[in-house]
Amino acid sequence: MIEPAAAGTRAARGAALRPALLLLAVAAASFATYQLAPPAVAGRVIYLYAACLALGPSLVYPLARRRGATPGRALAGSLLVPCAWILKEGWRVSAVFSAPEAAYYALNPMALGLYQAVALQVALIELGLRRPWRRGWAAARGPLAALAAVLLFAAGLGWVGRGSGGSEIFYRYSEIHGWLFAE
Amino acid sequence: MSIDGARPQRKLTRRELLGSAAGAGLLALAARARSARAAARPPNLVIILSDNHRWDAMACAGHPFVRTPQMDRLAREGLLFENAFCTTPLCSPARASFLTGLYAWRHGVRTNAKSQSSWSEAHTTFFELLEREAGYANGFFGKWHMPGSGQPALRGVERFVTFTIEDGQGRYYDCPLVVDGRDEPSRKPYLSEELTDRALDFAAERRSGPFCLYLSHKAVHHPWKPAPEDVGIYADAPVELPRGANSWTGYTNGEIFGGFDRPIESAMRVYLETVTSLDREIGRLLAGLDARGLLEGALVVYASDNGFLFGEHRHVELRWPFEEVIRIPWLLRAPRLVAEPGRRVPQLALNIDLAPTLLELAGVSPPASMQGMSLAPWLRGSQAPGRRAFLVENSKEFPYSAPTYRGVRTRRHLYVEFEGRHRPTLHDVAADPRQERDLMGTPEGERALAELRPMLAALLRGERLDD
Repeated sequence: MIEPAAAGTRAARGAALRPALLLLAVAAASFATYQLAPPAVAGRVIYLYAACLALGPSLVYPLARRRGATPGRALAGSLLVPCAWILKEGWRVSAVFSAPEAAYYALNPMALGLYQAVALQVALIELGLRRPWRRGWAAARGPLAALAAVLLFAAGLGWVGRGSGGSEIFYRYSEIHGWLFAE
Repeated sequence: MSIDGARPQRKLTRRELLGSAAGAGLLALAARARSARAAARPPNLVIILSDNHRWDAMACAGHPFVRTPQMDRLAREGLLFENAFCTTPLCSPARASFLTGLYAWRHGVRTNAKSQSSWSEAHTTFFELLEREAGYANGFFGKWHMPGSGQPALRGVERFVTFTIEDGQGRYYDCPLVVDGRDEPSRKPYLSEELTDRALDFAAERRSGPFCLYLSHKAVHHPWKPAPEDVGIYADAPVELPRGANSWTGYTNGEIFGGFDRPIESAMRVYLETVTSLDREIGRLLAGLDARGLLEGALVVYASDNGFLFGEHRHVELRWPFEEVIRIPWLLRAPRLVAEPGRRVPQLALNIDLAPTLLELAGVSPPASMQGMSLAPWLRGSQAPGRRAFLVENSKEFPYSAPTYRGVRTRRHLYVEFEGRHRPTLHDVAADPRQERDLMGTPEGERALAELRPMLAALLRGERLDD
C-alpha cells in the first residue's frame, strides 16, 4: 500500500511523476521493440504499446492520486504518454508538412479518440475516488461535468460520422485542413 | 412428326435443292456483308476500371488462391500486360490520367483533396473526341471521385451515373446514385451489381453508331465488402504476411488513415473476397453483352487505378513509390484486333496510354498534347516498340504520410527523389522486385544514376522516352 504524501509537500508535487515516467518507459520500450523485433514479436508487443497509450490513465491517475497528487497533477501525469505519442507523430508529420500542419495533426480523429479515452478514464476514476453516493453529489461536480462533456463530444462526433463507419469525421477533418492551409 | 419431335426425312426435288442452295448463298452473302460492315465500323469500347486492385491479385497473374475466372478469361482470350503501371498511385490523379492521357503534373489533379487541386473542365477526354470525331455514344458509370465542386460537365458523355456520398467514394451497399444530375436510389443493394445493370441497359439501347462504356467500380476500395455469396469464401485461405509486416502494420508508422479496421491477414481475405465479387460482375457484363451480340466486335479493357500495399515495406494503402502500388492489372480482349490471343505483353504500358489507344482503335488521331502512347501496335504483335522509361509522381496530401516525390521507372530501375526529409531511393526492380536493397551510395547505384537523373529531368520537361 502506497502512503499518500501530505498535500503541498515536494513528495505530493512529484506524486504523479513517478507512475507517469514508469508508464512512459514501458511505452517507449514496447515501441522500440515493435520497431526492431521480428514481426511475430512485434505483432504481440504492439498490444502493450496500445494499452500504455489508451489505458495508461487507468494506472497513472489512481496511483498519482493515492500518492497525494492533486487531480490536476494526476491528470497531467496521465497525459504524459498520450502527449509523447502526439509529439512523436507531429515530428513524423513534419517530415512532409509544415509545423502548423503538424500541430493540426494533434486534432486528427484518432487523437481525438485518444483524448476522449483519457478524459473518460480520469473522470470515472475521480468519480470513484470521491464516492458521491456516500458524500453527496455536490462533491463530484467536476468529474461529472467532465464526464458529461466527454459523452457530449463523443455523441457529436458520432453524429458527424453516422452511417459512414466514422469516415465522415475524417473527411470533415481533411476539409478543415483545406480551409486552414489552402495553398 | 416422330415421337421425339424430329421431322421424317424425304428426298428433295431439284427445284427445292436449287432454291435452298440459292438461299444459302444469299444468306452467306448477307452474313459476309454484315461482317464487312462490322469490320469497317469502329469497335464498341468497354472499359472496366476497378479501384486499388493489385496487379497480382488475379489467378491469371499467379495468385495462389483468389478466384477470378472472368479476368482469367480476358487474359486467355486477349492480352495480359505484365508490365502495366499507373503514373501516380492515387485514385483521383490516376483516374484523370486514364481519361486525359496526361501525367498528373499536366492535368493538375494532384491529390484526392479539393483543397489542393481540382479537375478542370477544360481538359479534353477521350469521350469528347470519340463522340465528336467518330460518333460514339458514351456512358460513364460509377466512381468519378475527382476533386472539384459539384458534378462535372463531361463533354461527350451521354449518360453519367455516379455517386457523391462519402466524399465521392460511395458505399458498397445501398449507395445513393446521381443519374445525369438527378438523385436516384440504387435498384440493387450491391453497388457493383447496380453499376453493371446500368451499364448493360446503356449498351442495349438501340443506336446506329458505336458506344463507349466506362464502368468505374468502387470495388475494391476499402472498407472492403464482398457480395453476400462471397462473404467468408477465403476465411480458411493460407494468407501470408509480407516480409517485415505484422498484423497491425496498418495502425502504426503513420499508416493509421490507410483504412484498416482489422488485422492485415483478415483485411487481405476480405479484399480478395471483394475481388471475386467484382470478377463475377465482370462475367455478368460480358455475358450480357454477348447475349445482345455486342461482345465479339468489342474491345474490352480491364484495369485498376492503382495497386495496394498490405504491409510491404511496413506500409499499407498506396501513394508510396513501390511496385505493389504503381503496378496495375491491365487486360484487353478484342477478338477482331488481337493477334495471338493469350499473349503476355512485356512492354511498359501506362494508364496515360488508354486514351490514345482507344482513339487510335476508333480511327481518331490522338491529339499531340496527349502524353501517352497508343498500345494498338502491341495488339497486332509482340515485336512493336515500347517505351524506355516513364515518370512516377505523387503530391503530399494531409494527413497521409507519403511525401511529394518525382521518380523515373525504367525496365530495370526505379529512382525516386522526395521532398522534405526523405532521402532519394534507387532500386533495381528487375533483380530486386521487392525493393529490399537500396542502391543509393553504391557503385552500382552511381553508375545507374548517371543515366537515370537525366532521364528524370527529361520526363519532367514533358519529353517521352520511347524505344
